[in-house]
Amino acid sequence: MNRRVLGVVMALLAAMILFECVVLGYGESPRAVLRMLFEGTWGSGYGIGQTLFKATPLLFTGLAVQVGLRAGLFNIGAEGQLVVASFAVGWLGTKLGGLPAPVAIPLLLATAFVAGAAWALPTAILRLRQNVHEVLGAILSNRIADALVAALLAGGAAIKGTVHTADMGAGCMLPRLGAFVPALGASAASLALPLALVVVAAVLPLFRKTAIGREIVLSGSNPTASTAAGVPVGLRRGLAYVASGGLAGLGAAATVLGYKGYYEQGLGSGAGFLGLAVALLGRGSFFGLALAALLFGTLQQGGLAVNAIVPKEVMDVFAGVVIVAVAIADRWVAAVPPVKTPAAAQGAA
Amino acid sequence: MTKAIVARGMTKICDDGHPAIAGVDASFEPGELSVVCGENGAGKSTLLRAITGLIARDAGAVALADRPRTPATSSATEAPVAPGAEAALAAGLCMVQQHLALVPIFSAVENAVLFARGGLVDHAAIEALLKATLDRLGFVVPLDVPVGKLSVAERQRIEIARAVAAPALAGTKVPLRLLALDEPTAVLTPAEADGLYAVLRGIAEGGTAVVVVTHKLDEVRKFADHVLVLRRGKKVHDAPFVRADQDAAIDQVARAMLGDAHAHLAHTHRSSEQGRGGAPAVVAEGLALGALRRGTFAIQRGEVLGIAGVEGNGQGELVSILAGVARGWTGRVTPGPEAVTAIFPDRHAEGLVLDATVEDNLLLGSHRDFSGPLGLLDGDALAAEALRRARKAGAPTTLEALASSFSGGNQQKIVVARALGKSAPTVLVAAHPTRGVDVAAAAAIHQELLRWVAATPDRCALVISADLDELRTLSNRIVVLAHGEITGEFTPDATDAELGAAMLSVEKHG
Repeated sequence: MNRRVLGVVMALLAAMILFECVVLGYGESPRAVLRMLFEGTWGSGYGIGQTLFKATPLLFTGLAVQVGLRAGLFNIGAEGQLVVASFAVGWLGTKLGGLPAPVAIPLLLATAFVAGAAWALPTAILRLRQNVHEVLGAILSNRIADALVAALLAGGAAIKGTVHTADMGAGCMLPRLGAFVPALGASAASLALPLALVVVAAVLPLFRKTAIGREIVLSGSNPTASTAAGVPVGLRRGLAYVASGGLAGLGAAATVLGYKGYYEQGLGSGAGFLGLAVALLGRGSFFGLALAALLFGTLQQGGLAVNAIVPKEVMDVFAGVVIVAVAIADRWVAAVPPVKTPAAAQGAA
Repeated sequence: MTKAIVARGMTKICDDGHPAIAGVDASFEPGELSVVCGENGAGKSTLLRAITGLIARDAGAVALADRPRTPATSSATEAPVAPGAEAALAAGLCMVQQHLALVPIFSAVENAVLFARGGLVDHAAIEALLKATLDRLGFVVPLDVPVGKLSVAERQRIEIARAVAAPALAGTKVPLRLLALDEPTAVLTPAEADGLYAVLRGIAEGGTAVVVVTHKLDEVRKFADHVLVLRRGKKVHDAPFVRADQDAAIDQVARAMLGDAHAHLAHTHRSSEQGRGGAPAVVAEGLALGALRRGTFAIQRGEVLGIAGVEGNGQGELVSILAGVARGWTGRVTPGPEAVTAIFPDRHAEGLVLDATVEDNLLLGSHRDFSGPLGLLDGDALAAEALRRARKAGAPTTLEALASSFSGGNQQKIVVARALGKSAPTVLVAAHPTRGVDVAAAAAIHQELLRWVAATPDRCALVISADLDELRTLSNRIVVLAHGEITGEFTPDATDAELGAAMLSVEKHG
């Protein structure tokens, strides 16, 4: 465990050095850029709120990818699942004008989960019945999701002349955190953040504490042996993949319900793919996922903050380098032999 | 002059800190066939893997020496062999591992190409080299078929030929100095095993030091020039095998393997009493799938039916049909898979989830029985059941350890513990239940298997094994499966020759 943490720290350091080189390449002072980055994110109440807002969908999509990984499936389709769920929530919200929040919000969250799960279902079926690789299925579903939602928006779901739906009813919005913690100001962080933390904390232990959870992990690890022992492998892995889609869909809580109040083309885009990085960095633990989501949330928000002197895409480069460096650090950590206790070494001599 | 291979102070510490081997000295002489014996987890595979560079050693040195037999200290004339598989290969040291390391979708030649070095691959030259090696060894195997479609014995022949040809494939001029084989006979019939040893003898006579890991004392008796015994990672016996006084020599080896707990492990044959009467417990008619062409047999209540046969004659298919994991088969069988508990032939593919814990492996498929309120698992009940299963079959009881951290024999015990730990099924299908397990543990597994059958009056078992002694020990009746059909029925006192003839005769007509 400690060696893994060490690997991540080394990767972050390496990414930092490269980041500074890129900034120098723009003829800017890394110090000034870093100060700007900090001031725009963790340097003010509003910045913190915006960072938390950016991190919230990543918690959902990171968890979603993690759930797929436990079943041995790589859910690169979180992006499309989130798009479909966001649209579904935004569209349904316009129909729920008069409903009070305690009814409307659970209904919308359930819709987000079901829509994301439904969008994952064909990929799961293709993978587990026809042996079509889930990455292929998911990439195709992502493209179809984008096209379908664009078509629906153009076909009447959007306000004429725009690419967004009408405002949802008043009871459909998740309250902003700024209402409870005035220091966060008018930032877009909402109750979706605590919701995300609760969901992550509730889902992760299921893999150990429930029979189905354990069977999912065992099925993902060795489907042949699990089948031979009587585990319904296809059902278990399919369930995990579909649930992964649902969790990715819940990301809409942060963007549609907590921020915009309507669905707009492109809202939340990129969160699905960043979920892969969050899961990779987070290593399946609660704190790992939370810290990874915060890191990438910081980078996203920081990109906007430094945009004045370097392009915000520099932060994407940084994020990319982090991912590659973590992957390399992983190999490196695995190659280092474990530390031996002196007692064991003595016994060997 | 060809050199001996000398290893000194070989030490390998496991991830959990205990030594797999500790300070083992060994030397292997050209022209000799050495046998390394020991119980499961004694460190046999580890020693040979460390010498051939397949795993990194924590201490110790390997060298090529002129002087014979274990000089205590190194001398100036020795050539040290650097750690690592490349250096070992460059010195002519090769190993055939227990779980064959061939790419299943590649043909034999393509697998050999993987051993070639250099930028460009001369496919034709490699094919010629492999063919010449196979011819020299007297092996006949198809070269253009994906090796995954071949039988285990055929795959093993390819792997041996590839190891023998490895120095030449890698483009070095060194001769093959050491050929190590990890339990090569575990998957072979007695006749195949004898044939293999004849080939190994030939390789040794060519000036190679041949080292074989085995559990089978019978092979020591028949073939060993020199015997090395390991127990708990230390060398406890290292001497030439004196054939003039075989019985005493074998006894010495057995004592060294088992330590003070040495018990007389004579093979006892079961009587051929025909079960408990009444309707048969299992009726199979015309089962067909792949190599299995017509599986027709019945098993009585209380009976253990042994199935002998050359690997690849439908045994694997039979197990998957009975256990309910096969698709597209024809025929009829009662009862259905819900009444069957099975030990599958390949413990890595079908038996274990290697990167899961011992507990999860012992309980694989049974977790649902321990769901409490809200669907949450009862952790204490899980651990208790896992421990019960493990203790019964002598499997590891360190429940949180990963299955991959155990030796092959201990992994097999986990597989057996799970299959025998289930109480609801009435039919046990056991394929190679003691494959790779040491003598004492095999006896314990046999006892537990028979106890399982006898526990309730309606139980029965079907045992598939390449080890005819095992079949004789367990079965009330032995049938031979050859070319996908049951071709002969024998009582447990049938001789190797009788069974062997039935196993091979049909092949000629087929």
